[in-house]
Amino acid sequence: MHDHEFEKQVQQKMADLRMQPSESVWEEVDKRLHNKERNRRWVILLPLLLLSLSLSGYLLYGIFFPTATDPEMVLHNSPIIRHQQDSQFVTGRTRDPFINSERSKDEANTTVGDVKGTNRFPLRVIDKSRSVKRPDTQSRNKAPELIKNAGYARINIENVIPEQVPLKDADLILVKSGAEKAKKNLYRQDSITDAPEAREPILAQIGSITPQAEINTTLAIKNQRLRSDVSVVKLNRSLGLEWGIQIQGGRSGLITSPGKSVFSGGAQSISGLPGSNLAGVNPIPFMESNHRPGFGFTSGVVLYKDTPQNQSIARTTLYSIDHIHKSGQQDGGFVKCATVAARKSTCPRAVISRRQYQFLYQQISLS
Amino acid sequence: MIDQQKLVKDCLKGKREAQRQLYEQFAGSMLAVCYRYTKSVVDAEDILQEGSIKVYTHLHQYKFNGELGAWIRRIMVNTAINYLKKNSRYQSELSFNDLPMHPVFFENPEVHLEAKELADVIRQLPPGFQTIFNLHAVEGYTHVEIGQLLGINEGTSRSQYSRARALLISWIKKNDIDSKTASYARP
Repeated sequence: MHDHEFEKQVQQKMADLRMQPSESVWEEVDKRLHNKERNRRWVILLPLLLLSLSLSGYLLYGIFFPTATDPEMVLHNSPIIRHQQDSQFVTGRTRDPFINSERSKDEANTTVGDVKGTNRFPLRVIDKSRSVKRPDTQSRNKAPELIKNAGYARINIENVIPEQVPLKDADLILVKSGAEKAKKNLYRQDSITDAPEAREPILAQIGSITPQAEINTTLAIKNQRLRSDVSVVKLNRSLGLEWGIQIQGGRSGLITSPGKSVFSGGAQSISGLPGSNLAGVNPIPFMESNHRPGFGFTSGVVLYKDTPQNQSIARTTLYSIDHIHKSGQQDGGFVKCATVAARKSTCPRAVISRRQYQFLYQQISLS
Repeated sequence: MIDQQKLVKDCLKGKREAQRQLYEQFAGSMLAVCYRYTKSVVDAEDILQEGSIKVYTHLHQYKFNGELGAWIRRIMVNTAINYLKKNSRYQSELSFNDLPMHPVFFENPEVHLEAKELADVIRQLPPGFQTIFNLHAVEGYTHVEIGQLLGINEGTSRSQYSRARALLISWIKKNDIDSKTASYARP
């Protein structure tokens, strides 16, 4: 026998060896195989199931809590929209134009282009900020009971069309708010350094008109604490503010009503103009003595009653702004934009395009 | 071959009948393989079971470029090795030490035993010897491959094998003598 003969014999014999396994072996194999298949099916199905669940959840959430970037949401939720067909709404820059006075021509042009031919309300809800705290109603004890059904939503003013809104029916006021400094200014009129009386809280002035106005203005100002740029506050007719409210962040504020000046500010910002350092008097020369709303230099919101007279005022405002701009005074960027907007529009339309600015609106029931 | 291909494809589709057919085709020979590596039929069946599941779950890796039987056998052998490594009954005896080469290494006696008897004799080897003997003598693995498979030196595998072989030959010879004696003693 030669080498490996033994191994060959062993291999041969072992190759012939057959044994019969018990039936339980196959049963177990079969069971485990098909369990595995079932499990594998689940491995595929489970992510799909989770995906579809989350999708449907998302959709349902969108239905019941409409926070999508759908302009229609605002159309439904904002009472101002009810007046969109026959109203005009104006807002200024959210960012302080005195700080950020440069605005590109392109942006202005785009803005105007966007304005043209559109009649829909420009607000766009991007997020309903349920996470935003309700205003601290206790800290201002004058109006806590009025804050009912308060809800918040962040809105993006994409194209702020300066439509005039007849405030006598309006429920909402857009209030520009901003930094803590702006809030302080509204109260203390820090910017109006020459007038001691200007350091009095704005509320004193407001309160002298109507309690309701005070309450609402308080709320409006308080909203600044919400780190929003604009709050929309439900406005009651009893405010007496028939057709205009403007609160400007940063350096000025203005609340107007026919024949009354609730508050005005922003004097410092229009340096060189008559009355620019007087509190309580609207410094803008083209503003009439009854303080019908003018154009906000430091941005904010101006709501106009849609009357020929107001349109005329607004036109004059824009003209004046243009004039200021041409005379090389400050706030050129803002003015330029407004001017461009005005020139290209047939009616008093002003600064638009707020794509990047977020506003917060608060709807307060004053039932 | 074509039938086997169809069988494999059907198995891949998850057809139970095909799976059963494939099992029946190879279970007998594969249980014998498993049997040689273990000390009990139950263990062998356990390995067969585990190996069969591996066969079905990895069947998509079989590319029809070799004998299906050989492919399944490799899976069974690997499963058996893993089983021995993991099973506490085998673990302790599966440590391999270098041993001096046995002098009767080149002896090639004639094996008169039946296949089952020979398998039973192999199974009486200590697990380490048994494993290496099976891998080298029966499966045809080289000592290098055995070394890689078991994580030992090639030399260790060689020396262990020589011992296992010598032991087995001595038992076979003894068995031959015993059987002859028994036949002479028969009336």
